[in-house]
Amino acid sequence: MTATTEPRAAARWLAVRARGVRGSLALSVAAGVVNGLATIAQLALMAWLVHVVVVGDASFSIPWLGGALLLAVSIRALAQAVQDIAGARASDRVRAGLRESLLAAWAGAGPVGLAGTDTGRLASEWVEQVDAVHGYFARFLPQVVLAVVVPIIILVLVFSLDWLAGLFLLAAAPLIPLFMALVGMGAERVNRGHYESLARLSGHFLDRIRGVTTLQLFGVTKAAISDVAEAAEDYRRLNMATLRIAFLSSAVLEFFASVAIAAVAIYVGFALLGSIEFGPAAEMTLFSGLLVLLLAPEFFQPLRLVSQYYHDRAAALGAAAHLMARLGTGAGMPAVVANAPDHSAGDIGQGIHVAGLNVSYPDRPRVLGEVDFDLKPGETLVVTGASGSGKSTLLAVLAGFIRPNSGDVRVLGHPPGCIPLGWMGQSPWLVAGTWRENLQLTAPQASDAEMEEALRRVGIGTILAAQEAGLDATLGEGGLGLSGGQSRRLNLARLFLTPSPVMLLDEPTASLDSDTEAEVLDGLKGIIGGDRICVLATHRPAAMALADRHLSLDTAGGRDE
Amino acid sequence: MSELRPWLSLLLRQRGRLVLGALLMTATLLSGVGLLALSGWFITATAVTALAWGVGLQASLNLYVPGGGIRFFALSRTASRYFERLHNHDTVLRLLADLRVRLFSNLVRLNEHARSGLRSAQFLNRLISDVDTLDNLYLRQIAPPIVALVAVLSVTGLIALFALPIALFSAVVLLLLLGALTVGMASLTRRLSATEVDARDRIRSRVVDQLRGLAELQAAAQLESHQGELLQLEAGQRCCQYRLAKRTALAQALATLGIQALVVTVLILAALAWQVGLVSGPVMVMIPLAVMALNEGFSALPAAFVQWGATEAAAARLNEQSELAGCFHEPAEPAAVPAHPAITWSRIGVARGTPPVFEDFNLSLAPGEHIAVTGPSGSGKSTLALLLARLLNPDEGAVLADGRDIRAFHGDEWRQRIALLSQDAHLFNESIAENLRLASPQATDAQLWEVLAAVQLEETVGAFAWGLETRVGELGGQLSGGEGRRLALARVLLKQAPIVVLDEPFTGLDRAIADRVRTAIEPWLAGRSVVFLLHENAGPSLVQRVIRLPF
Repeated sequence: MTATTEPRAAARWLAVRARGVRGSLALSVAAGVVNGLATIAQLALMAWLVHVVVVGDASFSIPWLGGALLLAVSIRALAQAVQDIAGARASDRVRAGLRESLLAAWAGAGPVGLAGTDTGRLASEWVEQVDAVHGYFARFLPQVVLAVVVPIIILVLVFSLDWLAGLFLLAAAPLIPLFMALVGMGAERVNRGHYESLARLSGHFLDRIRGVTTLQLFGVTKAAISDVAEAAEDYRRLNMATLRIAFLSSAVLEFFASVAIAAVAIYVGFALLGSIEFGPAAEMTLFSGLLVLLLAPEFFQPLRLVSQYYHDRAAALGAAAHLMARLGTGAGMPAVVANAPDHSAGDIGQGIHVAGLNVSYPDRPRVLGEVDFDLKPGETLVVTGASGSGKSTLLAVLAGFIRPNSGDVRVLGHPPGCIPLGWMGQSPWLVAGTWRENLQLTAPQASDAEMEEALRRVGIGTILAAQEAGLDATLGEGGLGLSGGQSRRLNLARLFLTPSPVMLLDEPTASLDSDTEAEVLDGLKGIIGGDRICVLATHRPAAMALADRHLSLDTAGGRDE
Repeated sequence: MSELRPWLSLLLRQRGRLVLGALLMTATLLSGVGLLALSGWFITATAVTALAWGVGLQASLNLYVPGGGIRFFALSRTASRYFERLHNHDTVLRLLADLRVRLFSNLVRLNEHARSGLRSAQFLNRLISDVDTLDNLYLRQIAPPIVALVAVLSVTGLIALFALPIALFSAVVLLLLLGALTVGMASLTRRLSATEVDARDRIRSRVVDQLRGLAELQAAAQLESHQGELLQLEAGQRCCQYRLAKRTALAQALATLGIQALVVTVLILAALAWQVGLVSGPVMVMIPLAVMALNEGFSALPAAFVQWGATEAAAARLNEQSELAGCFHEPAEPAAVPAHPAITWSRIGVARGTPPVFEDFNLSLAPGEHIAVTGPSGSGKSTLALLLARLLNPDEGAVLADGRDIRAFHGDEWRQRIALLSQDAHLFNESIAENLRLASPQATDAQLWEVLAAVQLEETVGAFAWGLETRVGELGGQLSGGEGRRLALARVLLKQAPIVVLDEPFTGLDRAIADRVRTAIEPWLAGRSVVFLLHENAGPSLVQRVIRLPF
């Protein structure tokens, strides 16, 4: 994507999102128009009041005029509130939809599709980037329409009052698209540059914070502090250079608005004095003159608001680029088997059947070639092979995370991904919460007795017994307070509780020292057997002892030995 | 409010700039007031004059002064707006530098225990967003109400010259409105805003949890129900946001209603005053128009003050961060550090942290001696290294250098004697050369290649198109785990310190590479005091003693 097409594509994408909330946006615009009309009414009544008081050519009643004015003002305030709330509602619905789509895209990409993407980054897409489109839908979109409609209404009215004064405003009108473009280009450049360099600055700062210990060890903290100051100073200098130009474009808008007001005021003044002989000037009254003056700022106000909200657009475009890419990946690769899990346990008697399995990626031909094996209930298969030999790919195929290029794969008689399975990866997965919450993550139905039994089987029953609160004792984030071996055994207990006879373990002892590995394998020993089918990928010899069957992917073809 | 005190004092360092910025903002607002009010005055004055002429009265009107005034305000509004924006953005960017430097200086002073939270990515994200929130404190929440206040006083002061009762009435209404839109708005939304921020944090950690467990949840067909729960939480948070947006909208409507109703009231009062001859016709028009132009100063207040709760919370969190106990204290008169001292961990007790900590622990390391400390993870090996580097102070006992407590030395000077490869050695997102030169800023390229050769990275780095200038990526992401670890080791070698601590130097390396690295660094280790921290008994052959933890 080039820099010029990217914002355009992002803008189109945002426009599609807007279609879904047309109702709220239309209400917001309608309320904005009512606000504009009420404002015009208020100003007209004020001008009329001044006229009748000063010129005295008609009687006026303060209660009537005052009441009408307060009514106009109230309608104005009310319409403004409706405009804002309807906009907020539109944004609320768009964001709800985006978050659901993102979740679906994550599920569609699956763990293999998302591997290598930082979870913190995905989380910030889900939280912050989605929120970044708020201002675009809540403020910018309605205001863009209002910036056309309201000035036209005012212009028509001013022309009917005094066409020469109208010409002053109209003279500025052809410039409006020009202003818009100027402001737009300026604001867009500023925003893009600003976001990029701010992200760089934040990244630099974050990097220094993460490395504080290292900086201390090398005794360079003082240098690092001045480094942080320098980076911020560079950022300031760079940004000020752009801002100087960017602010000029909005200054031009401001200038024309101010000059138009001044010109209208002076024209009206001279017309009232009778110094201007031609055109409608002779018919000018205090009412029409004052009203034209009061309308002049209102003519420019909607446009000024657009330029004020322009950063909302830039923020939304930036976020849209990220979100488009993420939502696109789900559609691009039908990684996960589409069949909805039918939650039936499948037929255990059928075991696992793999025949003629081939997997290749566009950039890596033949990740797995011609793998065949059959597993009967109660069997444990250990899959070995050097890193890159396709161990994890095989497991991902069995779990339904990726679709093989060819081959017949059946898990308990079903295609992969159709029935629930137990899975355990390289690093233990624990969340901040109680033991119970952690065990029930994939086994919501597990009873206390079942959980205690599972913990005993994997050899950490004693740790639980030492906890006063039992299953309600809390674990810190990432299993804080448990050793690496204990965290993995807690994962094994959960695996055991998962209501499925099939357990897939992808290098569960990777990056462990041999003592800890032995501890984890001990735990694993406690949960295999019976009718359970277990597939364990590993490159550590110690795990081989558990195997009934062994599949080496190092040998060409990868046959069951 | 008290949470903001340290940050306000930081702001005040730029006092001159802040005052100038506020003056420019005020000038912009008052130019707008002047433009509208004077125009109204002028038009009415001409109408009144024309009327007088119409009935044959002698009346004269100076057209040049008001005409010039109108043109002046038109230009001054444009110019002051432009310079105000430029000046204030510059100020904000300067404050941004101050903020980051202050925060970073605080973090550098913390010891390891106090800083352990820093490793969580979530904590860091929040820290960054808190700093960003405070960046806008001046421009959004401090300057605008002050400017609005000054403008209210100026405008009502002007009105007071002509009609004191109307001025007093307007001042009371406007000040009440100002209070409602700032203090009132802040206190009305503080709790909801805090709830919203909390909810967002909870949601973020829930999302991270689900993503990390995606494989397990998807395999077990539990993803859908977990996502459903997440969406429910999210809907709650969005509901908070929506309620905040509604309150902001209503406050904005209140601002419009307040100002415009005041305009209408003031107009009617002025008309009555005109009828009894208290004010002239032009002044009667000028007064409400001046009030009307104040709208600009009020309209941005609700949206800024709905954020007040979030700003306070951000400041509070940052304060907590910098006020944590466990700062280092450097000695007032640091002693001279011996060149190659004997080290003794003497009667060490470390009480904090999760179980395995030290109680009356003793260990000595003679100059030139090579020892290995082994034990399972969590047995306190890394703590020994932190104690030696004075990144952590023991609760009891002391680390002695030639019999002298190392707290007598200046921390940075002491650490010049120690080369420590910690388990979480950080690679900065800079070039390979810059990462290496942290250890020795003057090192030549030849020296860099020499240490890279020792850790078997010479070929890898030689194959990069940019060689030593290759950037290592965020958290060393452009290198494999093993390569990053070896680069960190190379950096330690480059430091040329007499005391070397290598915490798990070979973890994550292939056995073959580990063996080659081991052999290559042995000559370099000769003559230095070396501590290997290992979880398996696999120290190099040169190790003279092995200490097993726990005892």
